[in-house]
Amino acid sequence: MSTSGEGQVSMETFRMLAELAGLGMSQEELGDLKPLYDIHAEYVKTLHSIDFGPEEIAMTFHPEWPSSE
Amino acid sequence: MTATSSNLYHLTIGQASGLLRTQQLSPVELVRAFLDRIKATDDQLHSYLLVLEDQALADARVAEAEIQRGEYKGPMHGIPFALKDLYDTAGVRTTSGSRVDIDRVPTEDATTTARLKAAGGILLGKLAMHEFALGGPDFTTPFEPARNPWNTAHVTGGSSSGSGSAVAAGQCMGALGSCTGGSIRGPASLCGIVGLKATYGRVSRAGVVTLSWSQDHCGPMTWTVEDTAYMLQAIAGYDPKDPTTSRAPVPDYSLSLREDIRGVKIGVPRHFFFSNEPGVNQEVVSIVDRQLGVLEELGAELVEVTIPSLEYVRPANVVIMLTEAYAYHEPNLKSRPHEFGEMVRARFRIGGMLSASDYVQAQRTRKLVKREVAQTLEQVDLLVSPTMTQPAAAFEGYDSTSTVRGPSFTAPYNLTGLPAISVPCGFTEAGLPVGMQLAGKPFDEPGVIRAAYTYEQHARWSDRRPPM
Repeated sequence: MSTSGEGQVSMETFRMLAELAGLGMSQEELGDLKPLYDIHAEYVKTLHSIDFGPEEIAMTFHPEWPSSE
Repeated sequence: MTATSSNLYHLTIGQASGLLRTQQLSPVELVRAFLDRIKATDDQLHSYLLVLEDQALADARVAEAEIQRGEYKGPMHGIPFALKDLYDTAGVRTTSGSRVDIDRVPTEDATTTARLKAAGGILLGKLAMHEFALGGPDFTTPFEPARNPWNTAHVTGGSSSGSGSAVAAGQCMGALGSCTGGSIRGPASLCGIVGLKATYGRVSRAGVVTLSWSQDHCGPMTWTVEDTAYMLQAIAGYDPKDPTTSRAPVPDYSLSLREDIRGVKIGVPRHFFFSNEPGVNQEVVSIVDRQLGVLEELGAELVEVTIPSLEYVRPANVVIMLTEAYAYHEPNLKSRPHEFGEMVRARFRIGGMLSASDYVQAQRTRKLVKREVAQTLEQVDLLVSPTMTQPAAAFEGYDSTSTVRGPSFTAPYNLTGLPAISVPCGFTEAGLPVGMQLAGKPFDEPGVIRAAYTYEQHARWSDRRPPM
């Protein structure tokens, strides 16, 4: 897979995401972090574009209670 | 073999254990040799964050007395080892390579620490690492990054950076690393040593600082495959303190130390691991490709296989890693962010900006990858590839995003939890080591070890030592 820059978000969206996360970052820190975030945003876009086919692939829960035996 | 006091640090665990058992070598003499070696070389390498000289010598004297009384415990008895500095050590500072934990002193040993000590191992000290087991060398943390013994202008890889350099330079006989995306096999490959990430659940993670609960693995890094088998034997097995550990019986890994891979089917996912995609070094690919012929000569059957979802491994591995890491580190990241190094602080913050939907989608992708790899392993016994996409990079001009961009050859086995080993398989024109990765079915550490051992014994790359 490539990292072509297709997943980039605007600076405004990026600032909003950082605020929502409560990271308390300065404007300078936001500017420094944005290029690295863009790489990850492309990965996220890839994950959301995967065609899993007709079968439902889901996260599952295994209770793993102790056996009654 | 002959060993003199001047070259004891080049003994393997296998060689030393024979001498210790028969009392031809004293654990005290052996530990002194390694302490001297550390003193002579660590100014250049920065492998160690802490050397436990007095304690190691005291423990060596105890081991010596035990062996003299006929209480020999096995191949790790009297063997000097060291730990990546995220393994808890009771009463001994454990920093995870971070200013955040610079004064942290655990009250208990990690299960793996305790098991190595119970097997008679002598703890020499705590090793350098990339901060909280993430990213690359970062000069904004309190510790100098470890340097590669083959060329100190180059990185070791990470995050088990000090484990790689210490084993390669003969500063300890074996070390433990931890691995979430390749942090055992990566530095093993770049430092020319052996590194094994066992099946998820085979080795306890209790008392080891978390990066990503669902992808973290612990494992040995040593000079030879034989030594890796001995260390794994000491640490493997169920641990009530780690609910993810398996109750499956632990086999005798020494039984796998035999040269025989005749008829073993080895899958080659050439489309992914031997591609010419940007970021994949073609000299590395070529070196490993040539060694596939050696596996064939030794009787293995190579089968080209296709695993389409491997292209999604990096995104899934990274998203799961950063979101889980953020969940773990969030309180410190918000209350004292500037105690983190710049590189890790940036990446952890990104973890906080990923959504629940991103995390779920990454876990769904993980299932897809796991299923495809499992289907492939119904056709073949093992999978082979280069361990790393690149040889060790130079410090000068180091790109801190290099551990994020492009494909990862190690992360498929963190995502799937399968056992995988890196064994040295050659050198670049510049003299930097290259590793070959062999991965197997769940809990088939014996098969992985046997194949790596067979190749190693034939290829003999371990005969060559760093020039220091």
